[in-house]
Amino acid sequence: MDAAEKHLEELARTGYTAGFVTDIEADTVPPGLDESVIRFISAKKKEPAFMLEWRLQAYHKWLRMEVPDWAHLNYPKIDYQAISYYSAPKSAADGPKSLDEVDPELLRTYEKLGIPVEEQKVLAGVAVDMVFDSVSVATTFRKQLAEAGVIFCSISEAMHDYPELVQKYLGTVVPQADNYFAALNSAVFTDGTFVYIPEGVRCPMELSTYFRINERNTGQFERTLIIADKGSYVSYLEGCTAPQRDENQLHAAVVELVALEDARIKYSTVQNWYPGDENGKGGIYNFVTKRGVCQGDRSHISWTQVETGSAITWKYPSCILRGDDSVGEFYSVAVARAAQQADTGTKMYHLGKNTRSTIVSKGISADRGQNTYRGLVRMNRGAENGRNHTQCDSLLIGDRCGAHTFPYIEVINPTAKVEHEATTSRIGEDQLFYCRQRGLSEEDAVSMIVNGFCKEVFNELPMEFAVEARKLLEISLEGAVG
Amino acid sequence: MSAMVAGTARADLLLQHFRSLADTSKPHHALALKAQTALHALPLPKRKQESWRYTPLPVLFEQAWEPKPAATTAALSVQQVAALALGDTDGCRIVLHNGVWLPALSQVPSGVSVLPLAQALADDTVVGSVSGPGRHLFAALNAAMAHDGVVIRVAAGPDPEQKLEILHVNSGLASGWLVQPRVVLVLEDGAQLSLSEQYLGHDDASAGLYNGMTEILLGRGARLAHARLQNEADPHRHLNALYLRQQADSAYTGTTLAMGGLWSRSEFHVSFAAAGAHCELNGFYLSGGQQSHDLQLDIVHGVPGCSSTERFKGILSGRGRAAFDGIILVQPDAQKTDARLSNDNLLLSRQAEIDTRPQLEIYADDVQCSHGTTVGQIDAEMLFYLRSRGIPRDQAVNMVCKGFAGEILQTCRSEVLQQRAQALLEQRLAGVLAGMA
Repeated sequence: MDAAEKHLEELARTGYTAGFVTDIEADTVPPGLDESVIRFISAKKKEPAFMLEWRLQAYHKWLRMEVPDWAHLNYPKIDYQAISYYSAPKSAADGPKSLDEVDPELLRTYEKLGIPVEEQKVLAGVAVDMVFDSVSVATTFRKQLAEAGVIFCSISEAMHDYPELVQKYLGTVVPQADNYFAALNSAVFTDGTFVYIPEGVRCPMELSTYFRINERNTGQFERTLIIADKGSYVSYLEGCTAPQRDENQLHAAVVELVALEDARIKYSTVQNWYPGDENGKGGIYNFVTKRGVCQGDRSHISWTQVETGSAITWKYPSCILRGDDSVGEFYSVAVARAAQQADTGTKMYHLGKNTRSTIVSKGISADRGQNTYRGLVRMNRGAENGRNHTQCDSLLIGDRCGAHTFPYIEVINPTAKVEHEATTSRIGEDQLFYCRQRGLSEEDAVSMIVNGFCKEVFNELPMEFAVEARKLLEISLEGAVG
Repeated sequence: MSAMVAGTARADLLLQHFRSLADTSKPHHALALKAQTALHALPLPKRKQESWRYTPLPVLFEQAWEPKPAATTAALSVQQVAALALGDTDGCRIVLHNGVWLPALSQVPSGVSVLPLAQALADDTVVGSVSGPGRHLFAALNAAMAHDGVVIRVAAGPDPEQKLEILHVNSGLASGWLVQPRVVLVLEDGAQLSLSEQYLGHDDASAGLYNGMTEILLGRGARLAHARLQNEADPHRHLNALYLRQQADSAYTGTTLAMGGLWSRSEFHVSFAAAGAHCELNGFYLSGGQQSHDLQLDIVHGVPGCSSTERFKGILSGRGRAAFDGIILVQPDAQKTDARLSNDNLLLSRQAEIDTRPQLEIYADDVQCSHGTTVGQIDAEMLFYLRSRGIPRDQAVNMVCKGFAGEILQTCRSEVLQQRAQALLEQRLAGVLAGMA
């Protein structure tokens, strides 16, 4: 396709618009990992004693674990001793009290990315907990949230201010030795977000964290813990972009959600990290463990993700449906193009009675991209009348890409009902013809069809994110059509 | 911990046992030599391996299976064979007793030639040409000790309705037996055959492991209708790998019914050599009591323009277990592939367990692929509908189950086999319903 080729060239010239490096003198430990690094991190963050103990436990478990090899991914072996495990912008060491105290260069970085904190505060009504490398540098709307009783802060702050909450919940959803990457995260995580919504409170605004990876060779190990107490509600947005670089960057985050009785957590992600160049060089390795537990009866956890970035995505946001009548949802759009590889999906563990789960996964593969859906639905002995419906659709654009579907279904309760459906096909010639006939360019036609393909998932996103997601999808598929 | 250590030690012993069995076996043909080497590199199947993830292995590893001498001198009689045979093939049948071909009890139609495997191995490269030396320990073990079984060749003939049945009867062996036949079936270009196979553990109480291998090569435009009923005696373990290779425009229609034995695993490895081939796999499994059935599908679309349909259904009762693992792989350039897979499961008891894993691995874009899976109990509305018309509950359940299984059973080309399976199903369902009352 001439038009497509032209587009591709154009895109290659434009490069990755979000790719630039902010030069800030960082307080970084030399590459390598041993007990002393963990002690350093813990001391640096002035953590309570139990945290150091906890980190060391995780470290020793990690040492005995093996890198999982079951995923449908191909990447060079990661040298964990070549990674620097701590990096904090210097200006953050003193702890800025307000936006005025934040390094202006940092703020300019966000502005370039189109995250005008000042404006967002006023216009969007979104509180932003920005993460620059590893230390939170700005938190807004703290006061307004405090009035509602909502705790929204960095996890390091939470360790000082609410140690009893952290100690009670940290690692209860994703245990230290849950998997290789979670164990590594537990040992070395430097920061992240902590949210607590008290009983009966509906969080007055959508909470949001923008992640940003900076500083050469530093892996980013975020830890997020969200607790929704009885009858509360929170919607949390997570989005990210990263500057362009040549070395692969490891990201191993852990997200834990706890929903107590009648609580509801909505967690939305738009992930647009640097995917690497046309050959996948330099992209982010994203090994994330996300899991929520519907602890109480009638609780509800919903994951929505739009994954367009990263060279490698290894991510399975899961729900443990422990409370009776609890609900788990997973809506996902994953795009793999150029040399991108994504192995993503979800796990739904039905433990309680009348638990319900819905999985909608839309995978789009283009160029040489490899997209894998991997999901588990388990109906345990006690999952009386458990119900699951799974729909996995894959769209192939180009004849060198791959789309794979690996569902695992385990049922040991006869009253449970599980349905799984998957389809794989390319954009129909007839669909394209129909659109072109009505005067749409091929690009626009494909974009429209792809958007329709993903509609079910986009509908689940909060408004601002839905707009961004659509735009992202369009950009990431530009030039892939042929 | 000590149990785990004991388990590991036991696994090592078993592995050594199987390897030494292969090493000390007589055959020294190319296939066996290759398989013996492979065997030394292969581990004992374990849960950590994806293709054994849901297979209940302790039952398989309960004994150190090995070839055993006959415990009784009673050979298979003509009367016994007549009673077991389907009898709808004009007397055309091949009898394998404990894996060994009994020519005296067999009869083949014209245009069909049969050769004992041991003889074919010496000069026929067809043996092992589809299966290779084996991907897992038991497949390699079969190849390394290859001796029993037959090579059947079918030429294109005037009779498109050519029928043949194979009786696999395992009986009269000392407990702990291991029987490892291999059936190689070659349909020449344009040949047609309707083949029925029965795996029967004939009134036997001694536990054993049947580790069979079937290789089928379909020539250009060849057509094979293949119906298999696995109804081994209660204590037996049954493992059978079917390797199918299809040339251009060939068609395979197969139905596999897994009903007997304590433990069974049926593997299907399908590959296409040229465009225009179609493969249809149907399967039904019935797990009750302590039974487990494991079905493994490995469908490789490596060339453009082939289609495959896989339909599998299962009914589970008692403490019955089943695992279904079906992968459709569409390789790069295998454009215009059409592949559809479905797996439906009905759970009749609280202790039953089903693990199902339909998979699609697709590297070409101009394809139509889908899979669907369902798990559930009998639909309450269906039961209500029947009961509101005065049908007692038991009978209603029976009707729904029969209807559910019927869709697969009726794909058997042999009506006699179909009726036998139907009768078996009814008998088993009656037992289940009596237990439920």
